[in-house]
Parts: sequence; structure tokens; C-alpha cells
Amino acid sequence: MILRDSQNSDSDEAVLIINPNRNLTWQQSKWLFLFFTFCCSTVAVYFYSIGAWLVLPFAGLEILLIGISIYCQSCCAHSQQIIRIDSKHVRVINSGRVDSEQCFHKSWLKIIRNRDPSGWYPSRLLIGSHGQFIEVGKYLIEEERETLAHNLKSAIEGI
Amino acid sequence: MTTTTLNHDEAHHHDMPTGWRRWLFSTNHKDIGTLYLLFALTMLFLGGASAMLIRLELFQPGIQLLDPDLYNNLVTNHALIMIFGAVMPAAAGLANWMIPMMIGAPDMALPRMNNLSFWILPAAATMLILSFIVPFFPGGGTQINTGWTLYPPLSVQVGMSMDFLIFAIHLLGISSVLASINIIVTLLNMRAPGMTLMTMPMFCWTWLVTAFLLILVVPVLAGGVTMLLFDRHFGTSFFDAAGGGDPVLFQHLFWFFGHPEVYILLLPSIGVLSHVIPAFSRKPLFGYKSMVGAMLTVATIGMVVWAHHQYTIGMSLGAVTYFMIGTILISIPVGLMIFNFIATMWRGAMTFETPMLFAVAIVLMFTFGGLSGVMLAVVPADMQYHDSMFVVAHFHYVLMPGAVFGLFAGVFYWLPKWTGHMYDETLGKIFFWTNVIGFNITFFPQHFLGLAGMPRRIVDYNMMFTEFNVISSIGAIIFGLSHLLLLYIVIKTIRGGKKAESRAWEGAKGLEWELDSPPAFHTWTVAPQIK
Repeated sequence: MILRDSQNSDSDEAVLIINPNRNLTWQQSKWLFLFFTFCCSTVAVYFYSIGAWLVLPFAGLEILLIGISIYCQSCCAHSQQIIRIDSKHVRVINSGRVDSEQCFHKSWLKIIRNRDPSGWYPSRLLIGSHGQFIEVGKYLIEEERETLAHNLKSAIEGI
Repeated sequence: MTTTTLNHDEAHHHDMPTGWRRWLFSTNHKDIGTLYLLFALTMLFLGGASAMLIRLELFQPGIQLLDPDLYNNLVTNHALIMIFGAVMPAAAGLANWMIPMMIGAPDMALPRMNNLSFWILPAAATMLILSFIVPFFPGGGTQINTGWTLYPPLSVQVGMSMDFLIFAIHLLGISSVLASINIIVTLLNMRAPGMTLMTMPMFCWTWLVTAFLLILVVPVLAGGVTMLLFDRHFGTSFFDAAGGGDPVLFQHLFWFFGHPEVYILLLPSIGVLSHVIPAFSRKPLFGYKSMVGAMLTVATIGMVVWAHHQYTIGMSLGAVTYFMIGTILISIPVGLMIFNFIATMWRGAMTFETPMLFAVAIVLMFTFGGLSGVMLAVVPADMQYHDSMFVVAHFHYVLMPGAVFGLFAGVFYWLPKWTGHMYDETLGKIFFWTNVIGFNITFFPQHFLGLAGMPRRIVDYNMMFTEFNVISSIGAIIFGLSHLLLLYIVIKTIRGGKKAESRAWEGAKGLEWELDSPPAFHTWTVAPQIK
């Protein structure tokens, strides 16, 4: 989980960018998939060449499954949440497979930290107003979520 | 971009899991790990019961309890249940529990797939058990008397129970592939910031290689058993010489899976040892990089030496020479691993708690099993030993210490972490000694039986083999019953006992020991610090 905080001195806008933790870039994910494809295909083609052609569909299905798994996990790992705070509004932009944006009026904005009474689940940081709330920083660990709540409060009060 | 509004209540999807829903719908790696381990324990007793019946039958020459087909059906089921039902799920259970905690990840990369990969297993186990039971019913056909290798033409001729077995193998394969993909994606993409591949815990490395091996070999087995199914029901002749096919082709398909499967079973336990031995020697693992290199070498060579199981089929001299040299070469990286374990212990402040006792026993007995493996790799010698009890003794000396004892070591090492209680050390040690002594009494005499010419997979034997068989069967009773003590220790530890600290063992290192014992339902709410 990565939390980046940037404030442009020329404008009155604060921007918070939140990404989930990831070790592989898109490029590396593609190479990983190609590596698996090469290895599985080599084995399947060898057995096809000695008459066991029924290995091919199983290898194909497996490669497809590996591709879907790596793609889904990479999409999830490469999604990000951008919080833009200007003088009047707070915008939360979720980018991933489907982009979405929510806009709240700053004057009415509430920041809520919901803690799970059982302690089984991490807390949830919600921002919103007029009964409409959205979760921010779901990728973050507890400590970072606390920092985000503090940063949001400071940014809203400061600008 | 679309503008949407998310309602607070709609967004609150974190229900508290309770009762059966917690387990059936679980996406939590710890719960799924527990399910895997409980499943494996159940199957261990089922597979163990069939082994006890086999040894009871072999207590005396002649046919006492089992007719020849039922005897071979038990042999088949014992192997399949132990390999696919007990050892692999137990290793997957350890992986599920420990990998996210070791790499500082909140869960597995694909939690729903994780749930699916476990819940396929009970269905597969049911099919597997049905394959054993079906012949007892009217119209159920003949018993599966092929052994776990399922060689045609015998496997084409047996009754409908073989179809159950083929579908069970498919389900088990799907489960293994799903689990492997999940583990690979988790290890490659979800390590804590700062944890590189070459600083990853060794258990994670062993599972990365194991998962990769599974992905390579499972489609080949799936293709092989499907071809068998086609030969049985759809008029094809893949393995029928009369129709232009070749039964030896199935052997190649099977052993291309079957030989790497040995490393699939072994490597997770090698990973466990890489944590247990340093912890109880109070020294870092000797030669981390060489261990990784040795493991990769074992996996690579292990993929291309499968036909050493088939020396007697009449391969060309060039082919058998290649497979012989390749097989013997594997002993070099395996020897390096053993050397690293001994070097880790060297001048360490060693203590001998149960996990360490198992670790030392593994180093000794696995080396012994490896040496008899080198004997079997030599073509002229193997021609004599092939299909004898010597082979049975060899692979039990490899797989019991190499895989099962490693898993026992892992269970005793991490049980305080999982349950929050220390297990009863005295009982643990009693279990270790009865288990190891029972094991050696069972399998050591089988070397002599094999060398003297007793064939495997035959219900009866010559009178001259009686003494060693009696000793072996007495050992099997001690060995089998000792597992009841394991069950008692596990239940006792779950129910209570001395409170375990976060770092249950003085010399234990790793992120998992930074967490509470037992860890919270969701872990890593504080960022792990990777130095």
C-alpha cells in the first residue's frame, strides 16, 4: 500500500494518490505470463508430437486460467484512488478496470472511521455528506489509514 | 468517466462470518489453511487404515483377509489417498497459513479461487473413495487392481470404478492448479515492500518451485487419464497396440507427472526444514543462495528424468544411459541441501524440541532413502530391483521422512502460532520416537525382502519371506497407532495449554513470528519492516 501526498504551491489543490502494494509492473506481469505460456506449450507440443494430443487442450485451458489470474490480480494491484481537494470540493477518483468519480462539497464533508467491534476486519475510512459516503484508502494498512484520515482533515481545514 | 454515488450501507460488505458459513464461504487464508490441514489429517487416517489392512494381510504367507483384487485395490487407494489426499493438501494447508504471514501480505492474491481450490477437494475425495467402494455393489464391475500408476491395458479393462478414479484425478488436478496459480501470483506480486525474491523466506521459495512444477505436469496427467477414458468408452486406441496405439505412451505421460510429483511432495518439507533447523540451532540458514540454486536445479533435472521408472520397457541404450546419468546427477543438488542443513547445525546452540527431532531424523533417513535411490537409478541394478519390495522400502524412505515428517515438523513448529498454545512437549517427543521407530521397523526389513526377491503388489509370498514380513507388520501397527497420539496432541493443543508467545521459539526468525499467537483474523494491520 502506497500513499503519496502532493500539494501544488501554485494552485490551491491538494492531491492524495493511493495505490495497493505490488511487486510486478504490467511489463513484468506480461513476461511472467509469456514464461508460463512458453513452458506449458513446450511440454504440450512435445507430447503432441509423440501422439498424446489430448494434453494440448488441458495445457491451453491452464494457460488461459493463468492469464486470467495474472490479469485480474494485476488490474487489482494497479488500480489507484486519487483524492483531489480544492477550495470548494473534494473529488475521489477510482481508476482501475472501471473508472469512477465522486464529488463532495467540502463544507459539508464528514470523515468517518468505522472500526469493526470484533477486531476481525480492518477499520474503514469513509468520506461523504448528506448520507452518501464512499470508502477511501481501502488498500492501506491501519497505520496509513490513520495518516490518511489526518491528512484529509488537515487538507480540508487548511485549504 | 462515470459519476456514481456509493451508499454507506451498500459499501459495508464485511459481514462477520459465523458458523458453517465461515468455513464454506471463507476467503480467509488462515481458515482455508485450517480446512486443508483438517482434510489432510482425515485422509491420513483413511490412507493409514488401508495400509494397516495391507500389512495385516502380509503378516503371514497365504491369503488371510483380502482376495488378490481387493488387496491391489487397497494398494491403489492407499497411494492415491496418501499422495493426493493427505500430503499435498497438508502442504497446501501450511502454504495457506504461512505464506501470507511470511511475506507480509494480508491474504492470498485470489481469495475466492483459494476457497474453490479447497472445496473441490472433498468432492474429489468422495469420487476417490467411491472408486474403491463401487465394485462391492451389484454391477459395480471389477476392482481397481492397477496400483496408482494405472497402466493400460489393465486400467482399460477394469470396471466402472476406474471412471470414478479418472474423474477424481481430474478434480484433484484442477484443485492443485488453482492453488498453484494462487501461490505463484501471491508470491510474485504481494510481498511486503522491501522483500526481494532473494530475501524471501525459504518455505516460500520451495512453494514457488513446487507450484511451478505442478503447473507444468498436471495437464500431462489430465491428458493421459482422459486418453485412458477415451480408450475405455469412445473406441480410441491410444494405448491399444491392436489398434495402432502404444501402452508405453501412457507410462511416459504418467511418469512425466509422477516423477516431478516426488519433488512436489518433498520441496515444501525442505522449506519447513529450512526454518526449523536454523530456529533450533540458533543460527541463520547456511547457504541461502545455494539452497535456492539447488532447489531450482533439482526441479529442472527432475522434469527430464521421468523414464528411470521405466527401465524395463526396452528403451534404447542411449535413452537409458541418459536417464540414468540424469537421475544420478540429481543427487548432487540434493546432497548440497543436506550439506547446508548439517552446516547450519554445525556449532549451533542446538536444542531438541519435537520439530528439531523430526528435522534431524529427516536429514538421516531421507539421506538413506536418497542413497537407495541412487542404487535404483543404475540400470543394471534396477533391472533386478524393479517391482520388488526394495522399491517399496526406497520410496517410503524418501516420502515419509522427506515429505510427511517434514510436515509433522512444520505442524509442531507452527502449532503454537496457529492455536496460541504450546503443545505438550513430552507427548510430542513420545509421538516422535514411536513414529520414527515404528517407521523403521516397518520399512527397513522391506529392503532385505526386495533384495531376496519378494515382488510388490502381490497378496501372497513365499514362506522364506515370513520373518521379515512379520517384523514389518508389527512395525506398521506401532507406526499406525502412533498417529492417534498426533491427533490427541493436536486436539489438546487447540483446546488449551500453556499460552504461546508471539515468538514461540527463541531462535525463530521471520515476519510470522512478529504477529500474535494466535494471529488476528486479518493480519498485517501494521506494516512489516523489511531490513
